[in-house]
Amino acid sequence: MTQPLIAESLKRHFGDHVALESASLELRPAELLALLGPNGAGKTTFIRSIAGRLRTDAGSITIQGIPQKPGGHPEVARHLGVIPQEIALYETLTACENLKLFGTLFGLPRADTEDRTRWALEWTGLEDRSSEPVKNFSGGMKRRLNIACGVLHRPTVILLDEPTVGVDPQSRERIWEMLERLRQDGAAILLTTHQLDEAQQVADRIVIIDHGKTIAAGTFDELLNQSIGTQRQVVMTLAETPVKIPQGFDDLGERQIGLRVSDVARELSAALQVMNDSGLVVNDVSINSPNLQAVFLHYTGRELRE
Amino acid sequence: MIIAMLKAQWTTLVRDRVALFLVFLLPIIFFSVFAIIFGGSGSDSGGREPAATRVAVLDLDQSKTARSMADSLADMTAVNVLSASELLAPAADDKAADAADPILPSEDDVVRLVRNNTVDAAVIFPDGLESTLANFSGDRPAIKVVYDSANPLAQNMLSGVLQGAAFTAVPDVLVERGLEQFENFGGPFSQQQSAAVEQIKNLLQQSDTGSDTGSDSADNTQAASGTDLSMSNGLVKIDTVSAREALKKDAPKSKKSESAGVIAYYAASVAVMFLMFSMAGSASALLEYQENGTLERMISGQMSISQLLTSHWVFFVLTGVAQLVVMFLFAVLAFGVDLSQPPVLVGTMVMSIVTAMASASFIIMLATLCRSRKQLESISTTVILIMSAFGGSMIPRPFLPSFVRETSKLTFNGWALDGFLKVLWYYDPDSSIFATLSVHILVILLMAAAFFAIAQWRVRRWAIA
Repeated sequence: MTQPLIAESLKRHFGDHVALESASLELRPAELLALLGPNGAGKTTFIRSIAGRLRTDAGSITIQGIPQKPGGHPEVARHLGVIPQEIALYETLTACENLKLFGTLFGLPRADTEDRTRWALEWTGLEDRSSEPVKNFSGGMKRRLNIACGVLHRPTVILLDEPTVGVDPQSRERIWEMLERLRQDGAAILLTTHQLDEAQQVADRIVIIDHGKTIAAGTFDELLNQSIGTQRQVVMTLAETPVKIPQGFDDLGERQIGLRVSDVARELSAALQVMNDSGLVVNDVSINSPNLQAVFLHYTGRELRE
Repeated sequence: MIIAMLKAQWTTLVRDRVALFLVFLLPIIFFSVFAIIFGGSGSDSGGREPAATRVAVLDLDQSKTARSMADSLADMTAVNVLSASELLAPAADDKAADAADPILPSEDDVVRLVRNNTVDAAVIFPDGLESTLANFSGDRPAIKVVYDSANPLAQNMLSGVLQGAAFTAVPDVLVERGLEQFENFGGPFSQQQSAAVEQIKNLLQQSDTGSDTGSDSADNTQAASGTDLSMSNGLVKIDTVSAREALKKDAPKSKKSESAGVIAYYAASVAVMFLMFSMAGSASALLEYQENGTLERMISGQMSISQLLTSHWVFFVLTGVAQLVVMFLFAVLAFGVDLSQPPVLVGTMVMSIVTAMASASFIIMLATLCRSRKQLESISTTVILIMSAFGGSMIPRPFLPSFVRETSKLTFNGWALDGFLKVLWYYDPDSSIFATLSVHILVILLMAAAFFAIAQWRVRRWAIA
């Protein structure tokens, strides 16, 4: 079966700097795939290569079975929607005018452009503001319109760069609803984000790249199992700094100790009994589920990249 | 603390190459440009002196006096005397073909030389000049100084020089006229007196041919020449005639239409400069779209980067033409600039269109050569101001030093302003407007094509890296 997007073993060097070493991913139909990586990992180079804006030194990219070529392929362009992180709109034009302009640039017939403009205004919740210049819009409104302008031509593969950066929770919620509708309509979405909690929540699968290489790919649960496992972490805050840490516990500092557990109900009561037996007074207990951030840090390390 | 701050600010400046350029190099460039233009006016070295005033001389008197006065003009470094007969040789030959004797060019032919900018001014020595020298009666024939009102200094200079030349160039003739008057009133000279007179005249002739005092005094007279342009009270009578008005035989002379022509030139020169400035402003939006991803989004659809650039070019051209039309309309309505003659109107429109095309290409090329809006803003401002100074937007082209005028041939705006000058000022109704402008149009279009080709080549990096 032809996948909407397949990128295999992409390589790209800028002088001595290796931007992509061996970057690969596969986007499946109606899937939301999160592409994660620290700053400088090669995400932007990867996305721009897929969009046809960067030449690759090696590797291949196919979109709906059509090989992408440097500079873009007209057939690929019909299937591909690119939504940049920056607000790529004409600020002095109204929302309606922006939508019609980009509809025309994507080659939509006039009648279709009108239909899609009405659809986009309803989809973004901007019907009441359609006649206002974009410069008057809030950040969230601009970002919704920014996304709408990139999907007017009904692309089946959508590249989304940081779709929710800098917007309030309400707009963020609306944007995820919008993307979910696109997915329900059959579009496959590849998004880059640093909002790991959101990625964990909305993504069907996750790809992590670092130093230009794909280092992990799979569902959240798969990545969890491959990395830190499914154990919860029990964190206890003690009344006083312990003289000796009980066996099996980790010293987390500042009167906190931690323990990894697989069966919370059984192992937590046993742990509290150990505290009691050791004469340690527990002031507080919290149970942390393993999250994408922990998985991400496991794969990419904790050192700063900038 | 203050030293630490100074160090931080200095480091910031040193690391910002654009700021360094603006602070240190830009003023030097501007100084150099204006030094070349204005300094050249007072200098006489290195080919940077102001262009010598080209003066055509038509000697209808064919006398020694006329020749001497012409020689006095020729001795001046600021004047380049050309023979009207030689300049009009083909036309004169045609006329002479049917005539038994060679004939001199007509006054109208000479006026046309000034009108079409072949020369800056002309001097016509009338028939009977020598025989009426030092005759202060009102009906003596006048020397005609034909000038171009785009270069009004020429008429003042030539009038003054001719008066001075009349005093110094032909002293023997003046003595002869004086002695003739003496004989009329006092009776004829004796044989001995006549011999003495002949000796004095020979002496004067020798001193005239053996010295160059004529040019010196001519220069001095030039400096002293006043504002009385029609010098009927001098040794010779001089009429100054505007070439533009002289050819309008049936129309009354009008100072307003004279100045309107100059204003038309200023309208063109200012318009061309601001055409580039406004386009540079619009072109920075192109870089903004490139920086914020709008451009990438536009070309991710069915539009190519080449089409995108072309669409911007077309838009710039249309707005540029509109800008020039508005400027000329304003000049017509507010200052009475006359564009009513169809060839002038057509020529102005054609020049406006090709100028807008070249300007759009040039500015888009600059934008594609720059890496950021800030870079474009500083570079375009510098380049436009320098080109405007050389091209004649700041100082009328007739007053530019010859070196600057030659250099401006490397710029499209120099050619454009020269073309506008030919349409709005030097247009000759007897010649085709397209023949007059063909070279200008061709050069400007070639430049436009070259600029646009460079822009198309450079912009590819925005589409794919």
